[in-house]
Amino acid sequence: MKILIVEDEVELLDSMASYLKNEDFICEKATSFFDAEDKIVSFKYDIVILDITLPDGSGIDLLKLVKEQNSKTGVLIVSAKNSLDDKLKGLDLGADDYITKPFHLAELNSRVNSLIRRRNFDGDEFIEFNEIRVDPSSKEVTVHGKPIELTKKEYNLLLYFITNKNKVLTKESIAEHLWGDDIEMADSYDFIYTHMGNLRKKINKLGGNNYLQTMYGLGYKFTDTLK
Amino acid sequence: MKLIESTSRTYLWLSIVIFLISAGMLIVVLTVVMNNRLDEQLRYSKDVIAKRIKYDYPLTLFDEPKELNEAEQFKFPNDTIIYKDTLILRNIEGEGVNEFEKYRQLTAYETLHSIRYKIVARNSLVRNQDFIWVIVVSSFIIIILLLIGLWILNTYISKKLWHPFYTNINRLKNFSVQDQEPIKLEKSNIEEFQELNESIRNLTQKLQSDFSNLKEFSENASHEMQTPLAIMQSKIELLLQSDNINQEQSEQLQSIYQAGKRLSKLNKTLLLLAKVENQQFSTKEEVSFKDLIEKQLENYEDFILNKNITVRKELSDHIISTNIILADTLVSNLLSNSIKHNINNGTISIVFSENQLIFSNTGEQLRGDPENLFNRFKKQSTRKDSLGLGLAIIKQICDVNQWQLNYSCKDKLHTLSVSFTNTTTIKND
Repeated sequence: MKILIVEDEVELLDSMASYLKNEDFICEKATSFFDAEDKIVSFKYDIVILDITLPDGSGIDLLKLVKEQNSKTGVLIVSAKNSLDDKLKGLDLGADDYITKPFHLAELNSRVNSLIRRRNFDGDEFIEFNEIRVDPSSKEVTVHGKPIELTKKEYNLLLYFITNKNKVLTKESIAEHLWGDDIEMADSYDFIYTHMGNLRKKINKLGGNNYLQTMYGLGYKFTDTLK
Repeated sequence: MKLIESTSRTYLWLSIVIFLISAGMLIVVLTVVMNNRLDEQLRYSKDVIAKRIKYDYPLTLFDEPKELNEAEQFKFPNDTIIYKDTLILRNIEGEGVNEFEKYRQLTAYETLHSIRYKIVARNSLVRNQDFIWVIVVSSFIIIILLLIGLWILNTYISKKLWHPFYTNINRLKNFSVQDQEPIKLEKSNIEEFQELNESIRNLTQKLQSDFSNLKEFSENASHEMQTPLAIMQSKIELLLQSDNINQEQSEQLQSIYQAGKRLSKLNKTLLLLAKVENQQFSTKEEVSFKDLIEKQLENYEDFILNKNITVRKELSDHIISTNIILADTLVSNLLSNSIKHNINNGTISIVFSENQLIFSNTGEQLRGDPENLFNRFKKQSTRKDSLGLGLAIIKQICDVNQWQLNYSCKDKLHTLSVSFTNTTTIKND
């Protein structure tokens, strides 16, 4: 998968690229409108992550350019402005998703992955992690081939973990992924624990391994490598 | 007291004092002048009498001469003239007149033909006094007329000249810095009012531009803060991925991370408040509060179940024309507020009718002044997760929609109600 990240803040750009790079993505970076324009015209990308406020031009124009070049390219807009106008305008012009700053890298990764899944809908795309297999189109999960019943939250949780496997996920990022970033409740961390416990039990019941590791109260890690 | 009333009152008191003084002076001066004139007449009469005696003219018009007694003969030297006021009983038979009348009297001693005479001449003062009174009363009437005229004039002036002043005061009262339009003031020909209008215009323009600069600044500042916050957050997240951090470092990282999260949440909320204030959510559409409430209830399901809260709802299908984002934020904040401040096994009741949206929930007694409830950063709890902005947002959303927000608390049951009408009050039963 080839990804172009357009972001004028070099530090943020590096963080994004470094987080996504580990996920078997080839990341290319552009820090200006001019730079990005050049790359979009010259190469073919599967995904373009686009900051719409660039110092030398509008990301909206780049979005039009991307869609002209290759309509199959998925575009994820990143903006510091949480304004609906920008969002609607972006989505109207063919952007596939919208994320506002500041965001969790894990959330960005999850959005990019879900975008890729939606783009490549033709093939039977399964998400697999050892004995666990997730079918995103039907939202069915099997462990060792046996289906398990998951609640909506548990399913989202599992998918979030698998997409961000081998990464430490903070409680805050998980809570935001499950309940949205408008929720401001301390209790949400307790629920993560509850949902996690249920998920673990359901997987274990069908002979699945326990991949969930607790990281010093910071968060969790879904991994099959031992500490 | 109005200015015009105050000046009128001063005028009135001044007029009364001046009238009293001038009436007194008038009486004194007139009396002196009239007496002088009268005395002159009396002197003339005396001279006539003396001459008549001298040249032996009969004095038929006068009383019978009386013999002067010894003592009186030499009491005064010759050519002595004495003036005095005296009362004499006036008795006219048949007309029933029997009263004392004031007279001016001249008494002169003279020696004529070697005989010593005492000549007495009198003239009634009644007519003079009547005359003085007529003058005093008529001047009183003139003053009364003057006062009435002044009052009518003042009323007219206050209506006509002060009209722009009062109109402008009313407009000032209704002025809000949030208005985009400059204040419209009524023109006046009076220089002072023109100056006042000019000053008000400059002042309000300055206020409005300062206010909008402030709003713009806070919005821009919040925006600009998002990027460094995003960098901070992403760097910490990357750092967390490295394998060689020990527990102590991890805990410190966690503190930094959580502080950063709090800051960014605060920033987002303030940005939202600024945007609501700046009327950036002005597009209206048909909003079904019922759907919004159902959606948010689903969203908050975990939190409701966790506290084992019973939710009672009575939702009408009524449609309200407003901004959907604001309506959604309002419902979400009301609901999260009623969950957050609820007790275990408590209840929440949600009523939505044609003109009201009511959220009531069980909870601890409110500490502190309910007046401060809607102020920013006034929090009840010392909970870390509470920014103290939830109610401020609710208030702000109600304000821009001109809805009335009420809070009341009875028997540990807290009720927040939004009436889809104007103005806001806080009640604490």
